Amino acid sequence: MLQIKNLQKSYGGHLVIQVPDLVLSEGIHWFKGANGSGKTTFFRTLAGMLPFEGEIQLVEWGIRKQPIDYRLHINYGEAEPDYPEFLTANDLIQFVATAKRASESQVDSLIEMLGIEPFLYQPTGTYSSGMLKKTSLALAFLGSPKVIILDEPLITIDDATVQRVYELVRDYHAKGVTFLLSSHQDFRFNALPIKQLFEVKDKKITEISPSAG
Amino acid sequence: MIKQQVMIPVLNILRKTLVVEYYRLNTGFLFLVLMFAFGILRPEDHIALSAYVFASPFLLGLVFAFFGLYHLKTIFFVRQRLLWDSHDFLFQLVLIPKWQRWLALLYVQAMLWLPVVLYAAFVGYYGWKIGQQNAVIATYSYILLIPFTAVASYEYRLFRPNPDTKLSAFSGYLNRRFTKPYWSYFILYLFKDNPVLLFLTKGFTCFIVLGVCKIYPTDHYDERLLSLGALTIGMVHSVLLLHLYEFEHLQLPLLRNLPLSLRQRSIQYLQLFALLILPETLFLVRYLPKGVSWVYAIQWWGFILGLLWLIFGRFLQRHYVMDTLLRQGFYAFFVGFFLIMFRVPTALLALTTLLLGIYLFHRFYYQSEYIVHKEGLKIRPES
Repeated sequence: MLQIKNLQKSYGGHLVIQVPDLVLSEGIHWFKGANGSGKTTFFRTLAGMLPFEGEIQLVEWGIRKQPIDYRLHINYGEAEPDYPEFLTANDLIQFVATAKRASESQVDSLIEMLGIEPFLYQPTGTYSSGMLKKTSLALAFLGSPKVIILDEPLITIDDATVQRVYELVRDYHAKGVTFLLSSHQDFRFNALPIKQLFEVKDKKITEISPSAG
Repeated sequence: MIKQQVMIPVLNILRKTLVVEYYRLNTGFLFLVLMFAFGILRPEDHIALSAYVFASPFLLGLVFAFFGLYHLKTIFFVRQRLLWDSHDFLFQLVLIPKWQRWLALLYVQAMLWLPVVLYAAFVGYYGWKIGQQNAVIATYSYILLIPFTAVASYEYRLFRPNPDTKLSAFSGYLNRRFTKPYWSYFILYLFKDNPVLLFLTKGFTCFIVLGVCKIYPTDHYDERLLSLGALTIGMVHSVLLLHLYEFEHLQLPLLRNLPLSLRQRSIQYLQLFALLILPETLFLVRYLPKGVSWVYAIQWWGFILGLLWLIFGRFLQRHYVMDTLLRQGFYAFFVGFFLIMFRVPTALLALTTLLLGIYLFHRFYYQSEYIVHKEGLKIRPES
């Protein structure tokens, strides 16, 4: 599904993460790591949001050779989303939905599922962190992605929304979507069928056994 | 003695958090104003100009309005800083006696207001010498009294932290009725978070168009004068383009995850740039001097557009901060100046800058990254 070769990501000459060879097959993958371990940088790199050295391929699409197809099939939900304060959730959702070629019915269903309707037309500057998180989750599920990356998807949202996120992940997973999830809290993804567990530490990504998680 | 001991640390904190930061962030803006004010006009031109201004209440009013805009810019900066979480400790100022607090805030405003004071002192001296005492007294009174309005405004904010954001029924209706198009995002950002920068930039650039168009028939200038105006307008937009670069990286990082081709993205930027220079375009259309062809006007427009592409492309190629921008802008202006003076055709300049800018955009769009920590540059809304 996702092949990563010789990936190196540095900020101003300082190496943050290095992945010599990693193949992620279809399924739900959990990336653990302390704050500042490089999880977000790794995820943002996979989402095509940061420059890097190396190669990343999603199914048959290379991130550099087929940048549009690649980005059409990989979505990303920010850990701590922050949007221009004058835009509404509706503005953001419609903008991303058009780019990701999402149907109107999918947009409506995500808005309903994540409980965005009450603040859909309010500027994001008035949102709480939970409302921002719900908006970013809706954006991450838009279109027909093959891979959805969710960075700390369960922080700042209430328990009812957590259950809905589990439901969405299970639904999309049943349709063949691969998930890359991150959380520094051990217990949070027990409700999901995790296929592989990785630890992001010392600028490396290592697979660990589920019992170690 | 004790009071003095209280005041010195307070003034030090205010100087470091507000005054130094203001000048650090506005180095580019002040440098550009300085470059165009004293690079193009000689000191004797300023003295002659001040003689006209002091003699005309209307022109003096206009100058007061310009100073007022700068005053608003400084107020906007300080009030925004007071909304930052990192600057919450400044609200402790309410604990010190009122007169000391007012003195401290007056110190801040006086430091931010210093460029205007120095300029007014310079031209006022000559105004006094030519016998325009009343106008000079009016100017000095204005310059000395207006900082108190800023102090009152800061005092208001200190006693009313965390302002509520009120949504009007009209904006609610607009949000329901329309979805904002992508090309409007940056323009809305400027109106919302940087209105003074936007109005100062546009006021200045439209004044340049008006100036070169009006001066054109009165002298034996050729089209190079208009081209120099275009170069100046393009360079003045550097600060706005730096904001665009920061805005997209910090507030819309999701843009780079969207499956849009570089061609689609180029079209979006083209729409945005054309919209940004719409006021200058309208001014040129309105005041185009007789004898200047429409073909040249199109080349002139293309040259500004090309400069915008080129500057934005350079931001993508290399992460700039204001200090670097300043140096590069200075060199670029002089290169452009000599090319125009050596009669390099405007069409060629337009084509070269456009092609170079679009090349840089295609080459570096996905390579570009913002490496400064975002919290340090976060813009908070003004109430």
